[in-house]
Amino acid sequence: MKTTKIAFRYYTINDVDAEEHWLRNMAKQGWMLDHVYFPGFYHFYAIEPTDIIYRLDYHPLSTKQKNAYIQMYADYGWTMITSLFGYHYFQKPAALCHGEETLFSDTLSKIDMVNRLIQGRLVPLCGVIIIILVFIWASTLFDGMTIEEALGLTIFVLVVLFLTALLFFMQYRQIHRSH
Amino acid sequence: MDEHIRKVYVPMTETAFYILLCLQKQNHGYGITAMVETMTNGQIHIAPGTMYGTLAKMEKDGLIRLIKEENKRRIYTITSLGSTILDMEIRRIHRLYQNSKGEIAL
Repeated sequence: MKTTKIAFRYYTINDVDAEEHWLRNMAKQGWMLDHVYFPGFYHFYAIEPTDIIYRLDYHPLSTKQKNAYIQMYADYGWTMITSLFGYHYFQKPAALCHGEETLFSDTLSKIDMVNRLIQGRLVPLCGVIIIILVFIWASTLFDGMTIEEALGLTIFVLVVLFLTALLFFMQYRQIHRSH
Repeated sequence: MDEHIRKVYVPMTETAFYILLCLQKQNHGYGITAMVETMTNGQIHIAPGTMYGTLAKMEKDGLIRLIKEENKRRIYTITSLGSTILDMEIRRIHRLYQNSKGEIAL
């Protein structure tokens, strides 16, 4: 019988709840999360089917800060499994949780997390997009690309940026509505 | 006092209030949550993400300071700026309470 497996699932930043729910279902089927190698690639190992609650936090930390951070969550019964690009995956057996226990107990701290995501993800993304646009338009000057092609690509890139910003906006709305 | 700090913290969230109140005695994150649970008879539970984020923000704003790290636990205490802010908030809450009883706040 297989004792480990790798699954692929892609979640956008707006899907944290869905990701937590999926990981919980995997544990119920006997697969415990071991690692997330890259966004979307999850490594599991076989366990007795168990009800495990997973929670994600986004908090870019220095190595020095990380020990104290892990210890604080451990004090509350949350075990860190793995970290990836500022995201931290925590687990706690459902039997030890008080209902649907979450990592945040007030609205302000949830909004702060989304703000950290915007600073850590959306701002760098805007930077990358500006660089790409400069390259696209510079290449039209040297006959690498026609104006029409450059315009088409620009519109495409801006639509992607708009959709990403929309996801963040929806997350703010969701936080406000749930309180 | 920095006008910006006063605007951000007066009024403050319930979480921030209890953290400052508890840090009049040195403590660490989970210790504060446990203390608040006892004080409020289990009605208020400050979760770890909220605790970590609020402590980090308050340290950055100079309301609390790190004294030491013990077994990987960061122990904080309130600063004089933190005490001033806490006093302002207590006076504000006292006024609310007096007004709720139909009294004029002096």
